[in-house]
Amino acid sequence: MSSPSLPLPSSLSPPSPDGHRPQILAINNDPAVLALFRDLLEEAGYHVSTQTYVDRDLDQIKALKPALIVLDYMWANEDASWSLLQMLRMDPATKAIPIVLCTGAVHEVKALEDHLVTMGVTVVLKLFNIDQLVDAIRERLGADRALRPIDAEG
Amino acid sequence: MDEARPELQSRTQHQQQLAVLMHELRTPLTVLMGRVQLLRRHVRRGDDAVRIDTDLEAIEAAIVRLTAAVERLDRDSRAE
Repeated sequence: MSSPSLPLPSSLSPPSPDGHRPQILAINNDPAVLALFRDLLEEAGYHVSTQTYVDRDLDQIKALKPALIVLDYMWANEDASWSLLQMLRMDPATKAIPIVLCTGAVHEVKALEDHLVTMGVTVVLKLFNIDQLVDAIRERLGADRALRPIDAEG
Repeated sequence: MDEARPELQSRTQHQQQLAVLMHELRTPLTVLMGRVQLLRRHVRRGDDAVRIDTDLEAIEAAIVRLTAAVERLDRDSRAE
């Protein structure tokens, strides 16, 4: 007797039906968090690059042309993450890249909520369920692909 | 107004220290949470031992970091 097939968790289903693996850039100052993001997102079918705030370099990001950036917003190191976010949004080459902001700074982000919405930033609060993060990424990539003209892709 | 300034500075400094502490606690907790969920998935799927070992090592390292953060908090609270 065969058991009914259960739906795969969203983080295990392929990111796109045509087999394309979008490039995700994860930025954080902690190697253990970056390793977690890499394992999780590679299993979810993405190419993953990682970067720390120390080597925050817009040229590197521009050369990589990620489909999406996962950025850790650290209240304890507010300047680095916030200034990088501003730089990404001000530069014409990076301003359209979808950003998912992972943060434990619940109150601080709440105060910035309207501003973040205006900047087109999706917030995922820590401690998150791993499927929540993958769902947020998938949602942003899907929405941005639907909104972007075809010749702007790639 | 000048008299209030040192108190304000001290409060700001205290808030910054708390923010750093929160970050030191939340970061390994985030790793712990994520790795436990990945481990559960890897075990259910019957993945190889290397992948499971990676999860377990990350979990162990996160526990060590949490322990160190709690010990530092304990030491600081005694010193105050």
